[in-house]
Amino acid sequence: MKRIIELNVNGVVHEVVVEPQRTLLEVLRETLGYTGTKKACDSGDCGACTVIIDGRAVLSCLTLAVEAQGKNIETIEGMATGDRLHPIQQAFLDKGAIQCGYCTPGLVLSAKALLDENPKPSREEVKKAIGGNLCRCTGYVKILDAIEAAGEQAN
Amino acid sequence: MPQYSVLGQRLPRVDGPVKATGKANYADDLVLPGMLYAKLKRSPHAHAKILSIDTSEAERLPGVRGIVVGADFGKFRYGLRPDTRDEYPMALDKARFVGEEVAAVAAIDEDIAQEAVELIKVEYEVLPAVTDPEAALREGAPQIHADKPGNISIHMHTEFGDVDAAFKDADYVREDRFYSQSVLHGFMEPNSLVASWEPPNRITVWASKQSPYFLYRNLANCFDVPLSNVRVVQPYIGGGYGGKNGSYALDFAAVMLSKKTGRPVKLTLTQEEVLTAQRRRHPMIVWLKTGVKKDGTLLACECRIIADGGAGTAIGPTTIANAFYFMNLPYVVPNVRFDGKRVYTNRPVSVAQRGNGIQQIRYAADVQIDMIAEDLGIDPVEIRRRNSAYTGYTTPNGMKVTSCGLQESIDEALKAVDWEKEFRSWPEKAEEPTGRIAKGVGIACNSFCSGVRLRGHNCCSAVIKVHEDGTVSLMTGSTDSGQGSETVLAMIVAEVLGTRIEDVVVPQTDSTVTPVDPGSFGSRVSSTAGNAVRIAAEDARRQLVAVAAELLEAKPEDIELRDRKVFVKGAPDKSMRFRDLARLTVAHGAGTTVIGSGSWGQEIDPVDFEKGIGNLAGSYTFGTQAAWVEVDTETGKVNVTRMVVAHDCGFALNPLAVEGQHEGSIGGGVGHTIYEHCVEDDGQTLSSNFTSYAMPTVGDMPEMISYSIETLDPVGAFGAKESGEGTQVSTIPAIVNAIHNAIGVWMTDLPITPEKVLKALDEQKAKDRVLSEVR
Amino acid sequence: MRLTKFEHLEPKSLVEACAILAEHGDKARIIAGGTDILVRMKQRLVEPQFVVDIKRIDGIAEIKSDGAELRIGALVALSDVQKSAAVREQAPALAEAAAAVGATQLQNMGTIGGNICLETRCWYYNQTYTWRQGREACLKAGGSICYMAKASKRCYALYSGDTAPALLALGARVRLVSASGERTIGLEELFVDDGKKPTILNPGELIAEVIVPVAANGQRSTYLKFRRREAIDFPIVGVAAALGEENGVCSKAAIAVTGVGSAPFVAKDSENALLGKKVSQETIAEAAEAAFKQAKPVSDMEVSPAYRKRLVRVLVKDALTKVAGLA
Ligand SMILES: Cc1cc2nc3c(=O)[nH]c(=O)nc-3n(C[C@H](O)[C@H](O)[C@H](O)COP(=O)(O)OP(=O)(O)OC[C@H]3O[C@@H](n4cnc5c(N)ncnc54)[C@H](O)[C@@H]3O)c2cc1C
Ligand code: FES
Ligand code: FES
Repeated sequence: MKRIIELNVNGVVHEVVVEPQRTLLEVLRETLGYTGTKKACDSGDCGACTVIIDGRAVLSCLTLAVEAQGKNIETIEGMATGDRLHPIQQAFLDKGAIQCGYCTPGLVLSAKALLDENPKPSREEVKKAIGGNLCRCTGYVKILDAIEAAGEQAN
Repeated sequence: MPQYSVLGQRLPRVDGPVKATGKANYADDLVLPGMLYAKLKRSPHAHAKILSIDTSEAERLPGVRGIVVGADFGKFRYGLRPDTRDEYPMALDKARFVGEEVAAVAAIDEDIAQEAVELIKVEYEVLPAVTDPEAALREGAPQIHADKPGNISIHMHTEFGDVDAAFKDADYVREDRFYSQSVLHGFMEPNSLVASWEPPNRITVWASKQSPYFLYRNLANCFDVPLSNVRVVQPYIGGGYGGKNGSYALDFAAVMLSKKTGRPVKLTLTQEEVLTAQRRRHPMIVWLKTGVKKDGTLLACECRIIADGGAGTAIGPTTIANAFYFMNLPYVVPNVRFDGKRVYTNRPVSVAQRGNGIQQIRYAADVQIDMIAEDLGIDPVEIRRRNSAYTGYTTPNGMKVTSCGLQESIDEALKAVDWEKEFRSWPEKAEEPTGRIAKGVGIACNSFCSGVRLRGHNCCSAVIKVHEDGTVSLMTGSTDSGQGSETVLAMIVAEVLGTRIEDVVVPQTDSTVTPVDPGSFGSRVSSTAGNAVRIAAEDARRQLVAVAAELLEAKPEDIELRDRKVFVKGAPDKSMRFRDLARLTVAHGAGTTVIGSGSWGQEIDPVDFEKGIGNLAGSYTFGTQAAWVEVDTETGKVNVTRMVVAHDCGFALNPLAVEGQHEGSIGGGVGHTIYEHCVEDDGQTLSSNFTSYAMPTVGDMPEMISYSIETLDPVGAFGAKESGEGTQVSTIPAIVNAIHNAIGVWMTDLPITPEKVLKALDEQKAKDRVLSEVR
Repeated sequence: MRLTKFEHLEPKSLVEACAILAEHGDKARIIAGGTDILVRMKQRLVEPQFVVDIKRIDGIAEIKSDGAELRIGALVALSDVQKSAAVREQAPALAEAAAAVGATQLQNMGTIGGNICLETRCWYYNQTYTWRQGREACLKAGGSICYMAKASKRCYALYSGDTAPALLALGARVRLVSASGERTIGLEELFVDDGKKPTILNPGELIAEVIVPVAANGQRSTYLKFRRREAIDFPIVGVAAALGEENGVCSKAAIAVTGVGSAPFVAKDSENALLGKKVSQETIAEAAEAAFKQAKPVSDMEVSPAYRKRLVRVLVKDALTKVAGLA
């Protein structure tokens, strides 16, 4: 049965008609056009679809859209302010943490959820926060550097 | 080192902002008006005759718009060479591996397409299957291709020097068997494309391809349309590593569905489909026999390999040839014999993956050289130095080393690891108690081809268009699947034209507009496409300089382009802005729009798939790696804690990108060595997702340190050679050698799972016990 | 991978949830964090007509402590479990286990109730609908064969939850509610060693909360997990140990193991090897040996039964050494 729900994405409230079996990932990408959130495994294994809901990094491929009703959803599209990249995005760029870029949105959001809560994490804490985000291109070194640099900058 | 204003700098990538903000469009992000969604029906059997396909029920499902099956493509087959065309767009008479594509449906949404796929009824006659390459070679094994008796996909046998005599002369000969397992590419973005057929005979596809021109040719042949009517457009690519080179069933199916339905069609695989039925690295059994003098000088090598090719040949000839070509380099081996068989099995097709064929052989060879060193009581560094290739060296089969920084890379790596202090050979440590966590350090060297000379189309080309505000477009057919080539090529343009990297835009490859290019593989792009771009930029520069000379009343040879400005040598008062020059060029006299163009290819013999004679590539890279490991002797778990890379990349056009390539290679190499393998049963892949197929996570990665050795190669662009694959080659032996150094066992069967380590330790203990009883 | 159609119901109270579950019987499934069940639904291993989302139920998403017991609502996220000061102090094994589950996102989403009720897993079962068409259905999927032990009449799917062993070692109980009432049972009684249905939960019954006795003075606990990778992976073996010492001898020993059978098991013989004795390397080795003997893993595509058994011995030893402070 279709339902009308309100999804608050990056501060913009969208009224959408969804069937309950739709995942948040599908609705973000296909209904609302937030294609920055990536679908890689679609089954919880890789972190590419990570978004932040009410301050926490979660997997949008394992979240039903109807359950995100009324919550604050942050996606990669909401990170930059106009043309100014968010410090985490800037650090990813400067440190060379992006290659193919497919894992990037998920990693940036995992990093944001971490740094919002813990602006000066240890390397081990960063590793734990992004342990569920697979990246095949970079070997992760520059990603760790970027997140640490962004954390330092925020302080 | 030459002084450049743009090259050699650690510049962030040009596509960074669009990727960091989620605005980069990958194939699956694209939507066209009226677009349909397609799904594939796959064979559940490893080997089965297709008796009938009944699509009637699926056709009746509301929302279904079109169905295709293998027969829609007639008898068209494709492959790298005329004699290796053994793949149909979709299974025709029989299915040869679990997951082979049998039919495809396009429908108004994905759910309906999936439902329809399930309504298609395929009647099979299941045939005996063979999934092990050694079994496939045996008499009486099921035959996979009627026209390829004995299941031989490729057989290469070749020999240089007098191998038998050299073995006789040798003081010491050692023979070992190594196994490299089935490894997946593991790109995060599943294969995907949007296809649109426009009547009467135009094809446009937006496809995730690292080498779009293979598809361009295959589509033209398959659908019998002129090449000018095949438009392959490049979206951003979410990783390839060799797994997005070729043309696949999904590509043909999507185009055919679009042709049948008159609507654009999107076909995106699920990650499960990718992991179970798409391409993978060649599993390889390597028997290696090496003869040396007492002092460790290599005299002869004999190598026999059996590569599991899966059900098709694809680019298989290159894999086997590569394995041969890299039997010797980075070392000098005067006498070599090679016998390589690529065997058909009822498994998904094996193709190139970062290190294509070279990785498997160099892992064996660079572990064996450590074995020999230990047997002869020679230091592992010493034996490598003694046998090192050098600038000017030509291998027995004719590969010419134009620059070689191997010795320097060894120096650099040893310095970084404080080798003198850190390393003691296993025999020296064997009697000491290690404690539960045994630590070890190991090294390995590598060599890799930088820009392979292909058969057929080989050169890269570039076109540069100068806009009237001084900005520049660079048209190239070389694609960036994440490795950063777009950035490096833009830097070359900026360097030659004296502008900035921000002034250069590299539009997506589009086969109707951008020059034909062989593709992003064989570590070609920076060196080969780099040269083409350099020549094109120089061409544009010449045209600009001619106009500048007239405007500034100077001699063309006195004109300098630097930092967005035009100068006259020796006349500081005469200068203008580059953008003004660009504007005046179109207006001056009759006016010209500056379009620079250039092509470049290695002027050497094409790869010889039969005998391996000649120079494979324009130049060769060399490198050394050191690995630290910690082995938990109670659980068997190996932790790679640190890795050092020192790599002769000729010249680091962009050191940030070079480091990224090394780190990614280490990531892939660590996965290959320790974590990854396809779990299969009767040809069906059980490791069908990223939880069961274990690619390393951040916590599994070592600390990494990388150094570039710059030898300024005379062939590659600005002296540059490859950096994208060589490092992955030596990651494996460096780790294996370090494990030996920690616990005294040689791990010759990849991946090195904790269980295998414990088993090896048990066997070692049992042996020690027997030995001590004998004593 | 699309989910098939269902109706999504959001009860606001336990009573309402129980009524819904009772009404729809086997056609309904509970969803908490969804990180286990949605994957199985995508694979069409379960295709419920009604998905009963319990996340809007009041009062089962908090941790309460009265000094004697920790009461952890079934809906508490694993990340809140590990962050809770009360849990970290009084039940460290549980905090460590919660932190070892999958990855951060899964800990943010996954609940303790869902983690306890994690379905048993198998290389042949946890596959998509299409994948499974290639072979006859296994026991767990309604067929009659177990691919892991082909001669067997029972299903050998593995229980791989991380928090259950910690909770077992800590002596936790669970409060179960259903339309016909409620009961509180020891967690050990919840599990049965049957891959096909690993808990005794009745249809329509749900876990409302987990009750963990607060550690007696001097009692320490830990959870150790062995997996291939540092994140994402389920345990190959996980061991929780709790130890109390009085007057120099062991007054309490509790050891539980996950990843080895179709249910987590309590290593009773190991406990007996320690109780009343001085905790030393020797007694720990005896306890580890006892656990080794008790573990009866079947083969698995990843590791052999023999290797898994050895891991049990190593992890029990390591866990005890750690809690005894002998490391
Ligand atoms: C990639 C990946 C890796 C994972 N790794 C691990 C791991 O390492 N260790 C591990 O333990 N788990 C792991 N998991 C599984 C899962 O994420 C966790 O077990 C999680 O805690 C499950 O909780 P949930 O709330 O999401 O459960 P749900 O999916 O909501 O529910 C799980 C099951 O329990 C039932 N259920 C839920 N709540 C209740 C209740 N209160 N009463 C009765 N029944 C209930 C549901 O009907 C369902 O059958 C992994 C999952 C993924 C996708
Ligand atoms: S796409 Fe959601 S975790 Fe991989
Ligand atoms: S940048 Fe390609 S997967 Fe991370």
